[in-house]
Amino acid sequence: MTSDAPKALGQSLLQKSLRKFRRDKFGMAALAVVAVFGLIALGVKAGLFCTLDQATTPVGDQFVKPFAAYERRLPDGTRAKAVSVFGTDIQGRDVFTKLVYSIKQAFAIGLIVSVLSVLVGVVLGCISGYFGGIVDDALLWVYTAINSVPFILWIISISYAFGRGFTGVVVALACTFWVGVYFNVRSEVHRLKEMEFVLASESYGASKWSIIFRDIVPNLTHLIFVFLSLDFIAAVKNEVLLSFLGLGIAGEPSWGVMIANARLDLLAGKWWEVTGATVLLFILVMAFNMLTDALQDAFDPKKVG
Amino acid sequence: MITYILRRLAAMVPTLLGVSILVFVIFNVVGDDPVYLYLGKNASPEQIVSLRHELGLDKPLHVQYLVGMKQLLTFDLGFSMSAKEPIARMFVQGIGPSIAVTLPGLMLYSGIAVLLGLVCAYWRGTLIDKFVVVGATCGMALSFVAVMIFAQYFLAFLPSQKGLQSFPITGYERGFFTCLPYILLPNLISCFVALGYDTRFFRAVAVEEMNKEYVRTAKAYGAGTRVILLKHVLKNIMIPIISRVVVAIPFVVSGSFLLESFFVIPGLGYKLLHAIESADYPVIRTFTMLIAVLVVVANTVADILNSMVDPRVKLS
Repeated sequence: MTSDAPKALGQSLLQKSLRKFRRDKFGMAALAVVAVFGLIALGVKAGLFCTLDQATTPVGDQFVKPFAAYERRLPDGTRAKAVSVFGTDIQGRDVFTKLVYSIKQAFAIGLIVSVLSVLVGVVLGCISGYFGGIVDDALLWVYTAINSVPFILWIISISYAFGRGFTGVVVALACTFWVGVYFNVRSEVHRLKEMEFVLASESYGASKWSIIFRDIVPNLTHLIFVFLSLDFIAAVKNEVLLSFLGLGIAGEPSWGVMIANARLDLLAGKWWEVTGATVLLFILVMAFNMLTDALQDAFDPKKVG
Repeated sequence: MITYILRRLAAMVPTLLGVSILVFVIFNVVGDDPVYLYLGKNASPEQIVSLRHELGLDKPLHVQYLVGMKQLLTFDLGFSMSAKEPIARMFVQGIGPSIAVTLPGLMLYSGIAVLLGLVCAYWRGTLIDKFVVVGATCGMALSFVAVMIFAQYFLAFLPSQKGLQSFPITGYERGFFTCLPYILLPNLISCFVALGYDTRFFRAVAVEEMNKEYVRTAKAYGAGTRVILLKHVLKNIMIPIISRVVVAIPFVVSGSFLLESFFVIPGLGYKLLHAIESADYPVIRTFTMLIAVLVVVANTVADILNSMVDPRVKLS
């Protein structure tokens, strides 16, 4: 018996996981980066800075270089000397404002898609795994059909059928991403439902729904965290892809729209818009990838001692 | 073995049935009425009724589905309004360029990734290992779209501006040797983007294998590094390698969409996206369905191959 054994005894799995997560330097750094991006997204959403209006109105001549002096158009129509932060785009809009506004876009898409797909995946996975029978067969059939085709085909077809725009992107991504969550939850439920604590609840006469929500779902925490993180970043990356293919968000800036539209500007030597969007996307994806790894390490019950 | 193959082939039927129903629901139930796309907003009611009748859209949904399936099964795929070509010919001609753009890259990066994975696993925790892991993590965070744009700019566009011999900026020519210069850069790009994911995966697989007892025994017998890696470990991780390459097929398809549309290569992805831009509804539906069939068939064939390679895969 080591001296810290009694301390460990009094801790729940969640507490242990959180402690392990807090010790993970890379995980905490990644979480900090995500939190900074998240705060900026909240600020934009609340209308504190970089509003849609500011991101879509021209502020000066087209293609002002980054950190260069230029004449800034003020809202009242007058002009004032200013130094550009990250230049202007082809229509003279401020690239920095567009980049910051796009953080909100990325978080909106990432959050909605990840929450929707995890919710649907967990609920259907529990039903399928716990009840089995014909419902399980039917859901598994849908899963196989969706999973055996490259996701990009579903995403393109669905967003085409729904019409271009924010809703189309979100629906297309959520409709395809849930299957990954579903299948993993289903196999985990299969495993959990044979365990003693579930059998005990059953013998006490607990209702099936109470067993699912009180006994099984809490044991899916690690899957839920990991998939929220995975699907968030997959959604952000796929938005870029869809915008590039001309099926993304319309009328508002987003990293995907910026990269897709500014790729011809690059050939004319105007590198800043496409570079800015690429770098921000890179940082966010990197942070989320590291966060996913850290969550997997900290919350998987098999890895928590 | 033969019964196993037959059973695997039979299992494709319900899957493809499900795919066809989903495709039908997406395009015929959720999607816009294609009649408005063809006739515009100012069509007369008579025109709408007659075109609906011509396209068979006035029939009940299940009849429409069955008619579509009958066309698909008899290869009566119809005519593309936008490309002015039979859809079947468009599809057949698109397969070649699509494979040329993706398959060499897939083989190249799978090979490199397996090699790097083995190297990392053997010298685990050393500087080489850390360098590769950090590199792979960075590579995973790169956006495919951005890599494409910058690779074209720096490797094809800038050199040609300076008058240097380099990759063609865009384009494609048919023919086994004539297409080579055009597919080189796209393949390098998909290789670069996928390398991070695969290296990480194969490293994890190889690390697990290196911890097994037979490796320790081989070391104790004094077997050299190369013998352990290539003779023992590589053979034992063949199954995850094959499965991983199969899993990569969807990734290859999405890569081909991006690469073909960016480098103007007339493969399946390019044609499908062109059809989307011109709202050529029959082409979109047929291509989606046919690509799905190709992928399901490829998966099944890979499963059968896997069962032949590994005697442990249960055939029952």
